[in-house]
Amino acid sequence: MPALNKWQLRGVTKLGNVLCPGTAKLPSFSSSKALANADRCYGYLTAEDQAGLGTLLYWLGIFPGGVARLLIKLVDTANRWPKFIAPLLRLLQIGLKGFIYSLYYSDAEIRKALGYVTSVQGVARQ
Amino acid sequence: MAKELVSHGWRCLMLEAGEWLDRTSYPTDEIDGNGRLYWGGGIELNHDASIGLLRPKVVGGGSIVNQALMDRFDSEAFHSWHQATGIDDFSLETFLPFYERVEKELHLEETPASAWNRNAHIFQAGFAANDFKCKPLRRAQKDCAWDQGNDCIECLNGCRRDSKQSMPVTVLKRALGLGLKLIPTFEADLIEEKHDEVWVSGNFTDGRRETFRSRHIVLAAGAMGNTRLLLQSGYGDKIPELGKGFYSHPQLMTFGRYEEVVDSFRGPFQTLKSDDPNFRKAGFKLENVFAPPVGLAMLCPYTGGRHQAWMESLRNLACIEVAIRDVSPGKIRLTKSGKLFIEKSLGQQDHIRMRAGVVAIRKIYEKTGAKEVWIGDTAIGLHLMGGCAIGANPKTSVVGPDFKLHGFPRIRVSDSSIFPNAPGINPSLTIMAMSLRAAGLWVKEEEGRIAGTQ
Repeated sequence: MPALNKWQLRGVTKLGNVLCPGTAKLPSFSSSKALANADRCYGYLTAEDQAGLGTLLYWLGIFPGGVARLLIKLVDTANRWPKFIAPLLRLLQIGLKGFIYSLYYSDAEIRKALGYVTSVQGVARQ
Repeated sequence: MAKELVSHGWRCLMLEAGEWLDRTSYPTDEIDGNGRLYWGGGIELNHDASIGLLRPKVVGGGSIVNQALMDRFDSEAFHSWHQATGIDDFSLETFLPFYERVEKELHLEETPASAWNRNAHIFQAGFAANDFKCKPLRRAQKDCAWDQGNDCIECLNGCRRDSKQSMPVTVLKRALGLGLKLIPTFEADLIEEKHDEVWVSGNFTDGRRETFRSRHIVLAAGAMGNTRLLLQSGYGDKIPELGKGFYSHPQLMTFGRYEEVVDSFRGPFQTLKSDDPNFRKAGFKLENVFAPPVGLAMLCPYTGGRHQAWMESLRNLACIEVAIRDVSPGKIRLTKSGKLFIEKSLGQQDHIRMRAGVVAIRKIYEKTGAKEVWIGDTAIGLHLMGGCAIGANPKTSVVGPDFKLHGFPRIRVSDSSIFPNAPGINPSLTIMAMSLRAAGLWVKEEEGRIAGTQ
C-alpha cells in the first residue's frame, strides 16, 4: 500500500485542523485518531489522484499552517470564480474535504461523540 | 440475463471488475466502503465538478450499495421511451410479465409504519399538511429485524445479514448454482471481433493480463463502463451516437433542523416517496433519506468550526432528497489519455425541476416545525443511464431492439446504458425486467437458428 511521507502527513494534519478545528464536544483533527487512517484512505485513490494530492499535501506540510487556511478559503469560493477556474477549485474542494472528512468522520470515537451509533446484527467477520 | 441463459443450458462466464464480497467481508466503515465498493475511490465528477457520480464496483453492482428500491415504470415513462426509440415493445403491457417474473425472484415489501423512524414521520406529516401525496417505497428486503436494533444505513456498504435482496443472495446465487462461472477483479479494456468470436482483454487487479474468447458477449458495466469499453475498443468511429444521451437523475440532499432528536439514521432510513401526480408532471420526486457522517460532512454547507457545529446537530436533522427527471443529455467520451470525461450539466429545464422540488421541500420543513433549512448545492448522480441508447434507427441509437450493438451482432448490451432518456423512476427493477426480455429474445433467436439448421 502506498504510504504518505512525514511531510505529507504534516500537510494532512494542518489541513485537518483547518477543516476540523474542534469544538467543546468534538476534538480537533490533530487531537483525534483520524491521522491513523491516512495511508489506508490514500491507498484507495487512483494513481493520478494520489500524485496530485500527494504533491499538494507535501507542500502544505512544508508551508506554515496559514497556507492551508488560505487554500480552503479559496476553494470555498469556487462558485464565484469564472468558468475556466471554478471547476478546478471545486475539484480541489471536494478532493481535500473528502480526504480529511473521510479520515475524521470514519473514526469511531468521533461518530460516538456525534451520537451516530448504528448497528446491524450480521454474521461473524472473516 | 446470465441466470436466464444458464437456465437454458448455455455456458456463461461473467467478468467483473470489482471484488466478490459477502456478508462476512463487506466493509464496515466509510473509508473502506467508499474505497472498495466504488470507482474513483468513492466518487467521480462531471466535467466541471458540479455533479458527483457514484458508480459501484463490486460483484452485485448497485444492488450491494443501494437501498433496493423496486419500482415499476409508469405508462408515461414507457410512452416517452416508445417515442424516443420507435420501439413498440416499450409499453407497460409488454413489460408486465417481465416485472412479475423479476418480482418473484426477490422478496419485496413496504416498511410497516410501526418501524418508521422519526424522519419518515416528519416526511409523512409534511406531505399531509401540504396536501401532497406520498406512499411507502417498495424495497427488496426481508427479515431486517429493526426491533432488534438494526439500522439499514449500515447496509450501504453491503448488507451484513443478507436481508437486502442483493444480486449475490438472489439471482446471481441461483445462476451460479446453475453453472455460471464468475471471475472477479478483472477489468476489461478491449473488445475485438475475430472471425466468429469476440475477444475480451483486460487486467486483473494484480496486473496479470488475460484474454477471454466467446461466441457472444453481453455488456453490463453500466452507462460509463460500457461506453468507455466500447470507445476504447474503437466503436466510436463506427457508431457516432455512442456516448450520447447520458442522464443521472441528479439529486440534492436537503436538511431541516428540529428541536427534538430525529435520528434519521435509525432503523429503515429510506421508507417513503412522493406519489403526487403534480410532482411527476413537474419532473421531480422526493424521498426521505440520510447519509453516514462522511457523506453528511461533504454535504454540509460550512467549513471549520461552523461545519463541526452543524455536524453536532446531526441527531436533530431530518433529510429529504429531491431527484429530478433530467432532460438535458450529457455526453460520455474519452480524453486523449483514455480517461473518462463526462460532459453533463443541468439545463434550464432541469434547474426549474430542481427548484420546484426544493420549494415543495421547504413547505414540508416549514409545516413540521423545522428551525433551520439547508439545501445542498452539489448534485449527486446515482442512476447513471444512457450512452448506448436503444432505438430502432441506427442513425440515432447505439443498440437495436434486439439489444445488439448496431452492426455488431455478437455484442449485446443490457443494462441502464441503453436507456434512451431518464424515466424519473428508480431504474433497478426495469433493468432486471429488460434483461429478462433481452435474454428471452436471444434464446428464441438461437432456438430458431438451431431449428433452421436441422
